[in-house]
Amino acid sequence: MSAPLSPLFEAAAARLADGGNRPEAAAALARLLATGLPTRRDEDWRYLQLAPLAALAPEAGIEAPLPALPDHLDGELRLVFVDGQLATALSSPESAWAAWRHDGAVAPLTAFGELAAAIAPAAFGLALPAGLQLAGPLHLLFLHTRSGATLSGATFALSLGRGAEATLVESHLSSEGAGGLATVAIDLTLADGAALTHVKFQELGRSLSHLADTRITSGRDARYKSVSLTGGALLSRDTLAVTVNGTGAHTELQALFLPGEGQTHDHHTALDQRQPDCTARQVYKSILRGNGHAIFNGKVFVRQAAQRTNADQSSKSLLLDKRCRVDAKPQLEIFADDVRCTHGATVGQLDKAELFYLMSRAIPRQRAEELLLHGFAVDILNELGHPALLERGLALLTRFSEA
Amino acid sequence: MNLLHIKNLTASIDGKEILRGVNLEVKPGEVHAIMGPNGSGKSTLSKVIAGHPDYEVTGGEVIYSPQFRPKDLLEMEPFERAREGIFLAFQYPVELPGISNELFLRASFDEICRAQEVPLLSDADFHALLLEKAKLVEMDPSFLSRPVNLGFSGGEKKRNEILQMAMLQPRVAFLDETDSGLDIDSLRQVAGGVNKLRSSSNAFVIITHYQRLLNYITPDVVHVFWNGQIIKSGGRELALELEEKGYDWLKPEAQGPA
Ligand SMILES: Nc1ncnc2c1ncn2[C@@H]1O[C@H](COP(=O)(O)OP(=O)(O)O)[C@@H](O)[C@H]1O
Ligand SMILES: [Mg+2]
Repeated sequence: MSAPLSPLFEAAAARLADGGNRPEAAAALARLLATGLPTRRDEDWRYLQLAPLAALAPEAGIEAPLPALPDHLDGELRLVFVDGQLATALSSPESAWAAWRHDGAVAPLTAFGELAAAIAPAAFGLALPAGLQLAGPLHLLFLHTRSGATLSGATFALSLGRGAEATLVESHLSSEGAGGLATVAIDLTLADGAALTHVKFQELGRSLSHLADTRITSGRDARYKSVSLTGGALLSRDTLAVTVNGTGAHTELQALFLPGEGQTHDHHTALDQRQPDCTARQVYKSILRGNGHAIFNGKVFVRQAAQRTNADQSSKSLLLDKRCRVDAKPQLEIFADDVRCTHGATVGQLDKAELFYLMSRAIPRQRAEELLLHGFAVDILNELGHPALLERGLALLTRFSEA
Repeated sequence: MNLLHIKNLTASIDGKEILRGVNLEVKPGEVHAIMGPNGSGKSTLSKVIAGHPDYEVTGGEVIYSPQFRPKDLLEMEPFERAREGIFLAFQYPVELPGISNELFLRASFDEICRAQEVPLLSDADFHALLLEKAKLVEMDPSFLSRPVNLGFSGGEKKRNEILQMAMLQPRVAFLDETDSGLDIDSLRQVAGGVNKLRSSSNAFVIITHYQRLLNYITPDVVHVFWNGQIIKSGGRELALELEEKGYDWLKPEAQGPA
């Protein structure tokens, strides 16, 4: 290539060299350079303001004190990445996970995932052996501490052997003032009969953009459940793809996203049903404030072999202001004939009769609205399972409704 | 002294005048019944008293005097009225998806405790009180964990209104057709709940079509509502007369020259 590299790609090449030119990272960069970053002309990216990201000239930034960690982590297995780098001092002792460590190569879904794979300081992965039932949740924390136009990338690969069961809690948190572009690529592989509950909290500060790829591959009778709460960042894009390779598998995708003034929260999902007798359920809910923008695009492919697929998809949005905007689009491509697939999208506002009913019971407007938001979101929050996670989800919603 | 004094109240919705000069005086300890044909404005009156934002008050005043301290009710926000002891049992109770009955009542009860400067209850004490009140209105405790009114039958919704009233202990309660759609057992239970809540310091205004509720709750005064006004008031026997003769004989034009 003769054209000079953009500052962003130049920085990526430099990081790759720093990381010892790992072959998978070099391959990721090569793919990224071949395709370039997406633009608004790409259908899957048309609603996002990507130009400022593409024009980013990465800086080292100034390090701020670490953000406060959620207080429910005590005694639980955790891996902490600070600005993309595994921080062993903040993580559980190596002895707790070293036996499961593997090379952790990922296969990103998007150009931003390739960027993450190219610049991640190291690849990191865990392989849980067949039959293992992880007692508590495994926490994966991605902390961003540097202010300025920083660039970071992290990757993580988790595989569950036959019949293994685990809960993965992914958190994205930042220090006061942290900024720039944060990319992450995660691969999750479920062998036959494995079960994974995957919770994600995106609670980044408003100067960061978060671009995340999550690739899931499910085997026979595997159960994958995702509960994703998106509260922070200026621009947040989740690209999540599930490939169902075994019969009898169940997939459940749920998200609550809360874009406020100036924020864009984008969830793109792709569910690829390749085998018969599988079930899937998707519920994506957004609450919008100010000029917040929510995007949901849900693709469902039902291959010819995937007879008797039972897949539901619903997208619901609650608009609190006139200036907010929702773009929700289901995209079903069905090649099997004996299937049951439903989809529906609703967009509404707070119900005046419900508000008055609450206020007629001595509840002031602010609290009444908060209760109605809670009522809207509670089915997603209840999927969080653990009381400490539910509390954290409720706190996220409360911060949003009080903003 | 009147607990609630409505003076020449007029109100409209979307520019259409519905209340055309309502006068009503309610003293502590009293039970008033308001009867009148459909569309005469009874629900409008109760919603205006509760502060429903869709109605515009175009004239008159409402003086509410809890603990003998007169207040201009129409100046108060709906939640302030409720905090001060105004309660409306809705003709059509609203469903609140995702909000459990217990959470709803807790939020409401706490606001009233704060307003009245009494200490909040612990979760356990609150739950115990709620169970006690549910028993009072003969409601199955399983309804407490269900979303407010969602999937409740008509009668269950009405009973849920009375449960809320029992928890919040209002000073003036408007019951808007709380008896409609109730079978005889439910009617007896709802009336029993009201009777147990009656005291010398609170008052009830019961809007009803049927005098049968008044067999269980004995009113002090019965009013006839017609075309946005109270056109006649009388004692208990007026309700029986209305049941027998309907409303037409009371129309102003049927009364002859005054
Ligand atoms: N939103 C509205 N817009 C216009 N007219 C209304 C509205 N709501 C009620 N009304 C009218 O107000 C009148 C009184 O209604 P309401 O108070 O419900 O009567 P009641 O409770 O005595 O049956 C009726 O004529 C009804 O059609
Ligand atoms: Mg009515």
